[in-house]
Amino acid sequence: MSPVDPAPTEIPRLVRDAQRGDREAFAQLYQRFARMVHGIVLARIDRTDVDDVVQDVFVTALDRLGDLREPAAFGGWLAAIARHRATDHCRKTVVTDVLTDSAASTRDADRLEAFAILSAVRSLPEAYRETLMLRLVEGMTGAEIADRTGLTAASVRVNLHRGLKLLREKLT
Amino acid sequence: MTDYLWDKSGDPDPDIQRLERALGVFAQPSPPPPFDSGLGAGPSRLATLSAPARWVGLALLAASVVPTVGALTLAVR
Repeated sequence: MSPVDPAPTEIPRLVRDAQRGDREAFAQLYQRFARMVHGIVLARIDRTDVDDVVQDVFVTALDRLGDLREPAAFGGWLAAIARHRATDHCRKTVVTDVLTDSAASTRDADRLEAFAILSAVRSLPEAYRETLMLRLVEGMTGAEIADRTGLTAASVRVNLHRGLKLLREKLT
Repeated sequence: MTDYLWDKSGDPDPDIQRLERALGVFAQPSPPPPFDSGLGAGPSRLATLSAPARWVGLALLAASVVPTVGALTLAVR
């Protein structure tokens, strides 16, 4: 867990404070959940658009925060907004990372490998794709993924295990 | 499942480490970029419009300005 992350028990308090208009509380929620949202969005859309959509997700969350009745459910609620916004963005654009990125025209083998693996992860079923992004790209542990997305630890374990197995098959 | 995949504990799995190294370039920077709630600086409403909508807006603006300027000119004379 990074130094900017408040303890998990602080989340409901931060959400309640943010619902009362405390912008600093919302800024702390942003710091804590930005990686999760980034991973969820990156699993679905062109990486050049990811930062804009991540900001859009948090703007939407800020607008709708008053609708959230259970502060402890903030992570799962935010993850759902991120999935929805990314899917909506995806309908309007085409994912072209691998085809158009300038790195693809270079001889940089590491970058090409990275794009090939990213493409393989994106081709996995949604649940596996998202969980592997959070683990392998964002560097979150299984417990952190469960804590922030609202998934059970058992589901995260299954997603990691099956997702990695499928990814290895695609990369061989 | 290896502990390394779950929480990076135990013996490192070289294959997972290779995936982490390769994919890590796409990670969210730490700390993340500042949050822009849209209440501060940002693109103007005009800038967010599509090109045709922008031209229609400018045409309507011109159509409202020209008669006003004409009327003022006549009034001054």
